Amino acid sequence: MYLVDTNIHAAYLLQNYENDDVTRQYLHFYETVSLVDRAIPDFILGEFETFMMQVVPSRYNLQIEDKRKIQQLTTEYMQNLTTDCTLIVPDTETFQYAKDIYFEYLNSHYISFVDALVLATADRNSYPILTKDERMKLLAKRMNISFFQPDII
Amino acid sequence: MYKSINVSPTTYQQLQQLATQLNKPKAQIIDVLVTEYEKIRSGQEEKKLTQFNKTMGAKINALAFSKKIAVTTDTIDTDFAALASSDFMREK
Repeated sequence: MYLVDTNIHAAYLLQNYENDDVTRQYLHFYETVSLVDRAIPDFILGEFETFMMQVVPSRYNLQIEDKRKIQQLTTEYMQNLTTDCTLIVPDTETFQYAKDIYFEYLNSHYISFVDALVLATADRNSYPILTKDERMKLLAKRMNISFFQPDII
Repeated sequence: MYKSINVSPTTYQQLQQLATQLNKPKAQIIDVLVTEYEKIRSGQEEKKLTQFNKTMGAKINALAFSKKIAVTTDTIDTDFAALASSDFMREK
């Protein structure tokens, strides 16, 4: 079971617009992970939805027609994720653990609260993390949480 | 390993029946059932994944924007800054 981070979902949908060999390696691996082994936390789905529906159109100044296309692709993908993948919700202890991680690194290695939730959820459930986020992987390594690493960086 | 589990009376009777018919301990019957179920599930999951990759791949390849853009998903957290308040939900 892999806890899949927002950047992997976004990279998957936008793969034809991102020219990056490392990303391709992540996606190649992602496509081999069976659907039931893809852990989808509620907070990741929420972040992904906002990113695709609102951030991407704004960040890349997409025209209305292009916004509609990306919104349609995103909702279809979300429909599939929520039907076929393993949906998870952090419990209160995980939430408190995420809070501890967040405040511990707030001034030294800032990560967002969502990222802290990813680390806490992965650690408590013993899920390896699938993320492109180098900062998160650095903390995961410190916390002895396993993560996917492409062969060639 | 010893762990107690609760099963329905019907399931227990069926397990007992299988164990008697095959002349094997109930624990061994459960081991075989779980292993076989995993094989079936694995085959089904492989088919589902192939179909998913095919269907989503086609939709992803059909995504054509009206202008050329180069995306990076390495900086998602900072990209949220693109949500200027004036732009947020403007279409609605």
